[in-house]
Amino acid sequence: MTLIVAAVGKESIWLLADRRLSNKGRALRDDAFKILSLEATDGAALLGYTGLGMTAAGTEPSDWMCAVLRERNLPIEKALGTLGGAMRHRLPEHMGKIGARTHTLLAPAFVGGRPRLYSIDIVPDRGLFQFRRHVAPTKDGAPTEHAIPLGAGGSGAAVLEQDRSWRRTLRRLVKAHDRGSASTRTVADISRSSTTKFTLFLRIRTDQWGHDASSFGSSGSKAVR
Amino acid sequence: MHRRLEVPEARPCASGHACYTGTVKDRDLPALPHIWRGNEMKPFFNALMSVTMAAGIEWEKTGVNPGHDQAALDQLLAHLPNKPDETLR
Repeated sequence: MTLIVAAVGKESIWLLADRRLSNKGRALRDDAFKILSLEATDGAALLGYTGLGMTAAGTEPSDWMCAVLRERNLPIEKALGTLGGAMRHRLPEHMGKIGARTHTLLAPAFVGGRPRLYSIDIVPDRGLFQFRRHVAPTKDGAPTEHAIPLGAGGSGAAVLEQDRSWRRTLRRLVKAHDRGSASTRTVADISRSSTTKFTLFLRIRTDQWGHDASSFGSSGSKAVR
Repeated sequence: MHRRLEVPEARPCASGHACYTGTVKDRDLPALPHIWRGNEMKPFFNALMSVTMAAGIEWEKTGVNPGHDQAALDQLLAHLPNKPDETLR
């Protein structure tokens, strides 16, 4: 079983991912990182995924995604679009080799200071590729600009759907955290799994996005900008 | 010519991660993959850590602080990849 959970608050974004690598139901390792963080010119995003946890040759997609985005100083949505394109072309072959049928990436983000939730879904058998931004609907179903507060993916998401009480608990905690009445540690302790290894990532909103990259200085052609 | 990282002193940075095993927070906190404005930070930190650790071991052995070995760091950083690579192996 694999699981990612994303929570989006007004002042913070959270992403939780399991660390297990398995093949055909057999656990291989419990030390993978199915998560990476991205800081861009217009904001920041946390990226977590389920599906292909490692290629047959041993490459973890989180490391590969870093290589795809390396030296590309892009805004968040363009970075996700670039990543989505690479995933669409490169992942299906490797998913087939290990028998992964779906690959889902969840990305809570702040873009221009506003909370967002994106997802990328790939189902090669059905020729499905979706890059979506998830917005909360109004009561009459019309879309709004507001991000939906929670997202989950992986086979564990189906288990979570059977008891949805965790949603309210987690939303309340994130809201309390953003008000300053619950500590980061409290949210982390409540959010964690009770059975396996997990990584929990937090990013707090800042309005300092959009610095001119040149103000960060550079040195030579190989400088880290 | 070497890689250099320049960060404004007052750059706001508010993020963090924690790892858990079951209900227990792990003591070690491994570096996670991180991209900052197109820069892959994990290899950079690994190189920095490698040089720092070597200096620490030397200090412990000899009792003399060998100082920061910029040349060794430059050499490691020079070998880091500096182009996007979509090849998935």
